[in-house]
Amino acid sequence: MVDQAPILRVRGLTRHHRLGEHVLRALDGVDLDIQPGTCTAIVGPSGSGKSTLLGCLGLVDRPDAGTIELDGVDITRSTETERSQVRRSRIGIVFQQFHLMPHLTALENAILPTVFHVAGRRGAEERGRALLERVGLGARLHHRPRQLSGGEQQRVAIARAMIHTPGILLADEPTANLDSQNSRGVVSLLRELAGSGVAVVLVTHDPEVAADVHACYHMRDGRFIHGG
Amino acid sequence: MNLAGMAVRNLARHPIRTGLTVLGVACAGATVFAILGFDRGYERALRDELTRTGVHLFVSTEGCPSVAATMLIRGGELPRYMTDAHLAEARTTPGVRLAGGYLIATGIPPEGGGIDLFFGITEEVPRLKPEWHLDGAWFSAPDAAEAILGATMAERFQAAIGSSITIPSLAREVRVVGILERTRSQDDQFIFLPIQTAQRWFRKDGKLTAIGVQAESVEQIPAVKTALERMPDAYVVPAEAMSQEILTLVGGTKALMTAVVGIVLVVSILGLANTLIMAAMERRMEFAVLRCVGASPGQLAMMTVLEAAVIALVGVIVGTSAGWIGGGILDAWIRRHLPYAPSGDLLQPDLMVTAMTGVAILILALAAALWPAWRTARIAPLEALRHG
Repeated sequence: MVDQAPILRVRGLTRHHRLGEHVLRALDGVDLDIQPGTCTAIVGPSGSGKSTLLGCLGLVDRPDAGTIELDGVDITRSTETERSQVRRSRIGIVFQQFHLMPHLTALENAILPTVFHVAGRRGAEERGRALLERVGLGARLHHRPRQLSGGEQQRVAIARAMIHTPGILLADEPTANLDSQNSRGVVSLLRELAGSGVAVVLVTHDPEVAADVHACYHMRDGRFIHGG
Repeated sequence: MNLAGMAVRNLARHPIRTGLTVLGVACAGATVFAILGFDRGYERALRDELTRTGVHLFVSTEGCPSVAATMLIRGGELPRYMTDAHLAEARTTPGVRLAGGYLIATGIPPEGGGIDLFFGITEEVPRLKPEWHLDGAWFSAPDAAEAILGATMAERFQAAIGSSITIPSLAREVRVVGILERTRSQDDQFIFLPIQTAQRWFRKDGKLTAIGVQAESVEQIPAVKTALERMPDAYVVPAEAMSQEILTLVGGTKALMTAVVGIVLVVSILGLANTLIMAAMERRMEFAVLRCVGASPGQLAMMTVLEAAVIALVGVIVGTSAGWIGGGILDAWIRRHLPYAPSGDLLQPDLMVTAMTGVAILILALAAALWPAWRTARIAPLEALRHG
C-alpha cells in the first residue's frame, strides 16, 4: 500500500493569518503524502493548524506558499471554478456539525452534491440508496435530519461525501459531537471506506480515533512534530 | 434533483414569507397587466366607438377642438352656438348622408348632488348611434315634453317607460318614452330630450351645440369637410381628430396610472430583493457547505436567481389571473375616474399583454436578484469548516 504513488502530495505548505499587526503562522512548511486506501489522522491542540491544513487540502482555503498535488497534478493555483470541479468529483468533506440540509431527507442530502454535477446526476438516487444502505440507514432514507440521531446524521454526511466516489475523504472532527458508541461506528465506517481504496484524512482530538488509523501526525504551531 | 428543484425546495421552507413575496409580485403583475390592457383597450374601444357611430365629422362653433370634444362627449355649454340653419345646410351639403343636431345643456338640482346633463337631439341621432338599444319608443314630436333616459338616469329616477317624472334641475315634468340599455359610456348618464323641447326649455331657440355628420362614403369625407367649413363660424373636427383629442384628455389619467404602476413595481421588487437578501444571509452556512460539496460561485448565484424567477413566475400567473378575473371590477372603477369612457371594454388584455407582463416582471425580478446573487456567490466555503 505504501509503495503506491501518493494520491495527495503536499510540499512546504504555508498559511499565514494576519491578526492586526501580528502574523500567525497557521501552517509553516508542512510536507505530507497521502496514499490511496489509507486512513490518516491529524491530531494536535486547538490552534495548531489542523483545520487550516484540512481546508487547504479540501481546496476551500488557499495557502500562501507551497504546493498541493492531486494525482500528480499541481492544483495549488487553480481557479475557483476548477476548485469547485475538483471538490465535486475528487474530494469529499465531512464536518464536525454534519451540516445536513434540514429541509431535505436523508436520501436527498446524500445525493445533494449531484445537484451541482450534471454528469453525476445519472443514477444518483440508486447510488445514494446504496450508500445509505452501506452506512446502515437503509430504513431511514426519507427521514429528515431532525428525525435522526447525531450518529445517523454523521453517517448521512459521510454518504453525501462519498456520493461521487471521491479519491479522498476529508473529515474535520467527525466524532466530536458523537457519543462513544456512535463515534466507534463512524470510525469503523471510515476505516471501511479506506479499505475500499479511499484515502481518508481526519482531524481529531480523540486519542482512541487516532490510535485506530494507518498513520497519525501530531501538529503544533503549524508543523508536524512527529508522526507517520 | 437539479438547481431549479433546489430553488423551489428552498422557497418552500418559508411558505409565509414566500407567499407574501409572491403576493407583492402578483400585485405588481396585476397592475402592469391592467395598465397594458387599458393602454390597448381604451384606444381600441374609443376608435371602435367612433367608427361604430358612423359620425365622420363633428361641426361646432370655432374654437379649441379639445373644448369642443369635451363638450360633445361630457356635456357642457359652449359660449357660441350653431343654428338650425347650419343643420339644414349640412343636411343638403353634397356627399352628406346624415346630419343630426345636438343641443347640450346642464341643470343643477336644487338639492345639489351633481349636475344633470341634457341632450336635445334630432331624429337622425339614433341612426348615428347604432350602439343604442332603445327600450320603448322615440319622441312623439320634436317639441313633446318627453324624455329618453340613459340607464343610470333611469335608475336614479326609478323611472319606467310611460311613467312621468319630475326633473328637479328643470322643475318640469316629463313623460319617459324610452330607456336606453346600458351602454357603459357617458350616454348612461344623460337625459335626452326632443330638440325643440330642449331649445325651448333652455332658452336656446334655434340653437345647436354641434352637428354630427356622416358622409356617404369615406372617400367623400375630405370634400364634405371642406364644404362644411365654408359655413360661417363652423369648425369641423374629423372623428379621428376627435378621438385624438379625447386620448389627449385621457393622457393625464394614463400618466397618473403609469406613475402608480411605477411605484407598485418598485415596492414589490424591493420586497423581492429583501426576501432574497434575507434568505441569502440566513443561509450563509448552508451556502458555504454547498460550496464545499462542489457548488461553484456561479451555481449558487444561479440558484438565487432561480428562486427570484420562481417567485416572479408564480407572481405573474397569480397577478395576470387576477387581472383577467377582476378586469370587470377594474373596468368599472376606471370608468368612474376618466374624463371620457367609450362603451367597449376598457381593459382588453390578450396573450400579448400577458406575455409583456410576464417579461416585464421577470426582468425586474432578475434585476432584484442581482445583488443577492452576487452576495451568495461570494460566500467562502471556508466558513463551513470554521464553524465546524
